[in-house]
Amino acid sequence: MSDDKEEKKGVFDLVEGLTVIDPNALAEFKQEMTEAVIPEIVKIVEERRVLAAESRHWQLKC
Amino acid sequence: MYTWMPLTSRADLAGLSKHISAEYSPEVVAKRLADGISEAVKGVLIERNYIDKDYRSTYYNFYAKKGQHYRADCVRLHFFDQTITFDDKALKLGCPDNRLADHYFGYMVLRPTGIATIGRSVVSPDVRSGASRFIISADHKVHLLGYKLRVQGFPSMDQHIDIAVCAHAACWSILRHYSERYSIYREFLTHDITMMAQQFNPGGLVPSKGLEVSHAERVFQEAGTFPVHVARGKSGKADLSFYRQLSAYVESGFPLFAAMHTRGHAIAVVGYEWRTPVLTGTPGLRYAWDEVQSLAVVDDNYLPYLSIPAKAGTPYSAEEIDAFIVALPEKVFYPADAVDRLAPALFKLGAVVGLPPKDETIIRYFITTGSALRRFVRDRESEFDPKLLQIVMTLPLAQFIWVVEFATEAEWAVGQIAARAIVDATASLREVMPLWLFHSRTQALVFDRQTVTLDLQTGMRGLKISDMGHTAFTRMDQNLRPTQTK
Repeated sequence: MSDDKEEKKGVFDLVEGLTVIDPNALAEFKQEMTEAVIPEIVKIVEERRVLAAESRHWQLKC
Repeated sequence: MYTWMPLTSRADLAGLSKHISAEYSPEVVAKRLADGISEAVKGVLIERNYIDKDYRSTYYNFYAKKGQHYRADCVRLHFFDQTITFDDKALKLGCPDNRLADHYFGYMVLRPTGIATIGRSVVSPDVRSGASRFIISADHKVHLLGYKLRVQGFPSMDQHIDIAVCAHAACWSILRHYSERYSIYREFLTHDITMMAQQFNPGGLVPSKGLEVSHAERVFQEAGTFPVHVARGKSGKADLSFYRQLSAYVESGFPLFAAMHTRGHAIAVVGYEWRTPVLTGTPGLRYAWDEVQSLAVVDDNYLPYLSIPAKAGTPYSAEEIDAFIVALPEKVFYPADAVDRLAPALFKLGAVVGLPPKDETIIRYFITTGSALRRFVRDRESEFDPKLLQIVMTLPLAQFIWVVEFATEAEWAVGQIAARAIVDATASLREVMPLWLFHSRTQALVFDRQTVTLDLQTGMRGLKISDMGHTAFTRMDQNLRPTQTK
């Protein structure tokens, strides 16, 4: 039983000294990710997919 | 059946033609060896009547069907240092310390095909003139005269020309490395590779007409890997993200199938060398790719570990690579493109974590396993606050993780870093916080991946890190073998 309880504990319960982070400290990062990084990642990944599709027919025979 | 050929210099390799018949093309082989191996090789043992499984696979399926008669057996050349002696009566190898394997530099099979005779070879990068500093390698067992030898290296062979081209040879090299390095991958012979490239048996000389990049992708899929195909952007050489990813995968220990579109050529990228660190003091965010001086490639026109410059200026450089395929394991969902964009964004957390200024930082990212990270941390316990160590050991990491390291120029020069982020390689593209851990010497951010995607605030905690009496962490160089030039 005690082992089961141990398994249900998350890392936050197992390590002492962890503190809550001020949400204001994360706001800038969250905004950057939401408004710039993630849309760019999605766009880049799609662009790479198209480039890969175009390059699939390159002949390699040297 | 066995002939010992001592070498006083590389010029003595010309003597191979006295011992090996013309169908193995010994003059061409001798010249290739003389141009590419170091003077540390002082003895060659010639093993005749060698049955090579890769050649046999092509013999049974192609050469045996031809009007010209081809032999079924091969010659194998074994390379040793100056301490080895050979008793040709007792067929016995000897050395003062009785540690034969320590004095063995690998082997090269010669096929009886008249042209393109260099077959399956595993030669140590330690005896390859000009080999790069870091090479992806695996242990290859070698059975010779009742001795069990081993060599660390990367497999290579010349293309057969008539039934296999450069792309087949590059696929074969990579998959043979996988079968030796990772137990979950089976071994594929040369003929298997030509069959795997097509949906049906193309027969005859169709494979000699060349492969398309898609065929190579198919070979890796058939082999049970999960190939990711990355092509360079229309901006060409200015697509630095393409090269950063290329170097990241190589640093992760994944050899790359690389296409050079304008040459119509394919090679395997198997290593790299950083340029000598110089403190420039020039501001600007840099990446590990900016520090790469050369790539080590397996090109079937040369001996393995050919070193090609990273930047242009010579006819043959890494800038000619315009697409690559990396044969990944399953469960790497977060692509390098995402890591490449995420990494600089992490500076927005710089004030919380304690990162060096962005324009004084060198970023390096690569894939590894959670267990490799734990092993690395365990081996350097004294560098880590016990609570940070506890976190690394406790986090329920996915099998694969992306590691992003941040170093100042001064730290980079001595193999150290200021901070490290552990990114979940199974994360989704649209996650705001795809991290497990982000730490410097003073502060750590720990993420509960169960809850952080739902609520950033509740899925994240901070930890103030104790001063462990050092100024930086050791860079995690784990996946490639450092070359020990002999």
